[in-house]
Amino acid sequence: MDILFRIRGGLDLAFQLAATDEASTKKALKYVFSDLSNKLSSNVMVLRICHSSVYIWPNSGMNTIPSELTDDSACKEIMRFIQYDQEAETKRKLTKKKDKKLQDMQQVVNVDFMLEMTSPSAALGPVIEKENKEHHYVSMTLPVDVVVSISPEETWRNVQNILVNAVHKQLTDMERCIMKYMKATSIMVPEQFHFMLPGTRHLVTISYPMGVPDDQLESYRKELHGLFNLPSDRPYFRRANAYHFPDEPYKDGYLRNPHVHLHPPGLESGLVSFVQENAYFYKQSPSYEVGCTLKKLETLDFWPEFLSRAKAAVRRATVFKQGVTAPWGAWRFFQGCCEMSDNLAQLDVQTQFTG
Amino acid sequence: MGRSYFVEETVGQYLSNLSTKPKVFATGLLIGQCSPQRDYVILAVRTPPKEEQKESYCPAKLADIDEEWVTTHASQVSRMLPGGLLVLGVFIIATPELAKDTQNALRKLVFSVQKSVTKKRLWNFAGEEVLDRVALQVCSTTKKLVCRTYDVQDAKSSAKPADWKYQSDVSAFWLSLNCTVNVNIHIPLPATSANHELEKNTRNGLTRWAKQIEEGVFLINGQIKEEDAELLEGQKKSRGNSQPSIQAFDVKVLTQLSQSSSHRSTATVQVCRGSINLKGAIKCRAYIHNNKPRVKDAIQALRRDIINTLSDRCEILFEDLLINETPGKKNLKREYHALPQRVFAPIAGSSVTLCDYKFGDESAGEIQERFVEMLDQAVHAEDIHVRLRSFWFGKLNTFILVLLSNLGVCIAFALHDWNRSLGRVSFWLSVTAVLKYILCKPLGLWEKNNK
Repeated sequence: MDILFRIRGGLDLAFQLAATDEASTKKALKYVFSDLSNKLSSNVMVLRICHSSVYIWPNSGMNTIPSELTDDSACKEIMRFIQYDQEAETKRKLTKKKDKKLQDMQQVVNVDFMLEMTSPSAALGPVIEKENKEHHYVSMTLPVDVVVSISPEETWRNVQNILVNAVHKQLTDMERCIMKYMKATSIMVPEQFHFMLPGTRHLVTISYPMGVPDDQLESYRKELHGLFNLPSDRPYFRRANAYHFPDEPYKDGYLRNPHVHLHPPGLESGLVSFVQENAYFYKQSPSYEVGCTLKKLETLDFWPEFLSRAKAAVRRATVFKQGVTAPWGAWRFFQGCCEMSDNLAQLDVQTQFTG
Repeated sequence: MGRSYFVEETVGQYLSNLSTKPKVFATGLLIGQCSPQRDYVILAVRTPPKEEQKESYCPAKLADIDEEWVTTHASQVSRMLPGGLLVLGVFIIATPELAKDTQNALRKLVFSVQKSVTKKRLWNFAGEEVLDRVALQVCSTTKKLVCRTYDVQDAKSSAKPADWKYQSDVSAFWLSLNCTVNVNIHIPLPATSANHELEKNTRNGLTRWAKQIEEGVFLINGQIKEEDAELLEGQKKSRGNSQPSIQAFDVKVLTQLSQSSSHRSTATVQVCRGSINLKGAIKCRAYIHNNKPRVKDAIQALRRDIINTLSDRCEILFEDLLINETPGKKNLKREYHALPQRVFAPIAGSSVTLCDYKFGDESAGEIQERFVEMLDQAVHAEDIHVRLRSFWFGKLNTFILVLLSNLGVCIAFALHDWNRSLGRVSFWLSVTAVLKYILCKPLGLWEKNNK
């Protein structure tokens, strides 16, 4: 299974404009992007492997563990230096024990994008220049979010090149996105989304202008369907269909797995099972017996709004979390589950008829 | 139990020399380093006499102490200290008759000196930092010392007794941390602030930059180290070596810009009347005593030096502009000011170097004079290290080299057309390369541009 390297960080984009017409803005943008590209080709660019003490200078092949990570090392070696926090580590170990299938879960190496402020060169006496000229000053932070899928056996030398090229490619994509959606001096911040396309195991990254709704991007999305030879029966490139990284919390705040914050009851006769997404309706599913009550409780809470049968506001998953973690909360929660499961059964029947 | 001050023996000699002079009293500053366990004093400096006063001028009572003069001296000295070293306190040498009032005068001076040295600092003290400053009273007749400390953060703090111990090698074994930081600060001037003084606008930009330095990641000798670890962890101690030595660490500073530092969906557009650019590469240095130094303290010392050296240079420039202001210059379309360069010079009997700032038109003699006046230290002209080249000299170098290379290529092409002999061309190319070497070598450009 390939390793996903995900580089994230911000890159300052700032420039002066003497005239505010679109042509001069585009010219200035082109100049400033080529300047940024030069910066990314120099030793100023530094990558930090998260949860480790490893820093790399991908343009010069330098790193902070030169004796252990050489140009010819296989890139999977980097995993040895990453220290997961306690919670993630326990989860990882548990997953290994319980479910073999999840063993080949995607390995993600998170990387921070950084810039070096120091240089080995001699000092240059600083100067202050003040210019009294009317102009417009445009500034924004470009959100870098690069994902590359690399074979664990790939040499570190190649990995560094791949990472640098990917960052450059994203810079070009962001430039294209800005140029396409800008109006005079109104410049949209490009936002990155990764999509796992059907039939592939690689991610495709697309830059969308922040704040522009999906509907307005329809023609561009259709263009992308054509580019990747995708059928038009599903909106693959809608933002909501973007790939969700296993180590990242969901932005909407809904609890996907109600077991996450529950501690094992410690009953000897108890049965611990893993609830699989959407499988609890079927009796043959291994999740049916144990997981369904809890899962249904969550479903029950936000279904009424979907079905327009009740006006109850959607309670956020965090309320559940608080309820369960409060003293005796787990017990009350369990009692509530028993009561509600009957109601849910009725609701299921109704849904089958109406939905 | 009060604080302990480990004091270089030469400081004791200096104080006793001062006390033999026929004066009723003398004031001065104590310079050194604070550490969680103990403080180190490496230098004592008397307050210089005012220009209009003669060396022999002798105030009769403690009320005659010119507090403003002492604090101005303190802030000038403070600029000359690299990271890690600071004005630790003040001393008064007085006759036994004045002994009773000395403590009050010392207390007042300790607080006003501290206020003046921290006045324009762009950083704040950390939570657990030692903020006790020393007040040393020396009796000129009996040579008796009374050492007390005051917590300078608490205006009502009372004196605490402290221990004053002389040692012979306090200033000998220090570790130095060095780096050259590239500075490129752009300060847009919107209509509201365009009419402000250059100083105010520059300071706003510096404050933002200082925050970036505060948040930066520091790598020591290419390695990331635990903050609470010892700086020398894993290194062999060379106890047998009695020569004063400096172990130097090379530091890299990295910065990270958060991906979502702004939640705007479009770029910010400001209508500006002008802009200020501050550019250059500044040499930064900090010292830390080699008695179990912590990584955290070493990094903090260098971090503050980076911030101080740039803000001090700007302060010096603005003071200079105030004195030599040319009317009408403000309305120019473009203003250009070179900030002073930093020069380092060693102090006698120590491995530590102190610094000063030198404008392009100042000579080494003027630096020497300033070291004598401010620090009462004689430095040799050849010891003054100017490891800098001016910004425009750098530009000129590049320009000359580009010109030479282009000339070489042009000649080569001309010859190629003329003779069309490949062998001849390579011969001429080597000739131009040799010429380039001969021309560049004396200027020191060859090594710089052919790395």
